[in-house]
Amino acid sequence: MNTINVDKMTASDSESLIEHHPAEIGVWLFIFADMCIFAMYFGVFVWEKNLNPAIFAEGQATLSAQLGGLNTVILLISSYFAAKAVHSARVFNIDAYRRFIKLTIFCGLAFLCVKFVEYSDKFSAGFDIATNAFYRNYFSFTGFHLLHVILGLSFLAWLLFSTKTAEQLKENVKASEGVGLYWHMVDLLWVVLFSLIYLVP
Amino acid sequence: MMLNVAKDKLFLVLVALLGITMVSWLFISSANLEEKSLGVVILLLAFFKVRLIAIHFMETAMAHRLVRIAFETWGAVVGGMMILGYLMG
Repeated sequence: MNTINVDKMTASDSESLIEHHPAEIGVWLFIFADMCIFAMYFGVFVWEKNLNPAIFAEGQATLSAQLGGLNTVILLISSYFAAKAVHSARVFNIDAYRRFIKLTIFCGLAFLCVKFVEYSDKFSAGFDIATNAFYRNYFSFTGFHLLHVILGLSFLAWLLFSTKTAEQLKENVKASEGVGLYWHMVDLLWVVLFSLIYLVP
Repeated sequence: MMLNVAKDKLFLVLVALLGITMVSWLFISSANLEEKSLGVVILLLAFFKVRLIAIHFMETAMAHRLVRIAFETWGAVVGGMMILGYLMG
C-alpha cells in the first residue's frame, strides 16, 4: 500500500503540504456564490421576522431545538471526519481515507433521518409551507439546505465508489478537497440556520 | 492515545465547536439577559463558529489570499447585517 508516514515526513515534505492550496479556484467560486445565495435567505428571514414578530415567535416555539441541536452536532462531527478524509487523501492513506469518507456519509444519513423525524412531526401537527410566513421560511430554507446535504452525500458516495486503491486516491486528491469544501460549506450554513431559526428569540 | 488526541488540531477545533454549540443552547434556557442581547450573543457565537470552520476545516488560511479575504468579508458583512437587522426589529 502506498502511504506516507506523517511522523517520518521531512521538513520539506511538511512545507509542501503547508503551502498547498486546497481545491481549485472554481470550486471556491461555486461555494462562495452558494454562500451568497444563503446570505440573501438569512436577510429575508430577519426581514420577515421583523415584519411578523408574533407569528415568528409562535412558529419558533413549535420547533424542537433539541432535534435542531442534534443535527448541528451531527454535521459538526461529519465536518471533522471530512477534514480528516482530505488529510488522509493528501498522504495517500487509502484505508484511513475510505474510513473517514464512510463516517462522513454515516453522519450525513443520520442528519437526513433526524430531519425526516422533524418534518414528519410538523406535517402530522398540521404545519406546512402554506401555514404562515414563519413556516414558509422554515420549510424553504431548511429544505434548500437539505437538498445541499443530499447533493453532498451523492458526491461523497461517488468518491467512495471511485476511490478504492492508493493509485485512484492519487488521482482524486483535488476532487476530495472540492467535495470536502462543499461538505464544510453545508455544515457552516447549517450553523447559521440553526442559530437563526431555532435559537434567536 | 490521549497525547495523540491532544495533538490532533482538528479534533480540538471540533471540541471547541461543540462547546460553543452547548453554550448557545444553555444561553437560551438559563441566561438572564434581555431578549435582544440574547439574540445578538447567539448570532455572534454562530459567526465565530463559522470562522472556525472556514479557517480550520475549509483551510482558508492556506487558500489563495482572495479566498481568505472573501470569506472574512462574507462573515463580517452577513453577520453584521443580520445583527443590525435583528436589532432594528
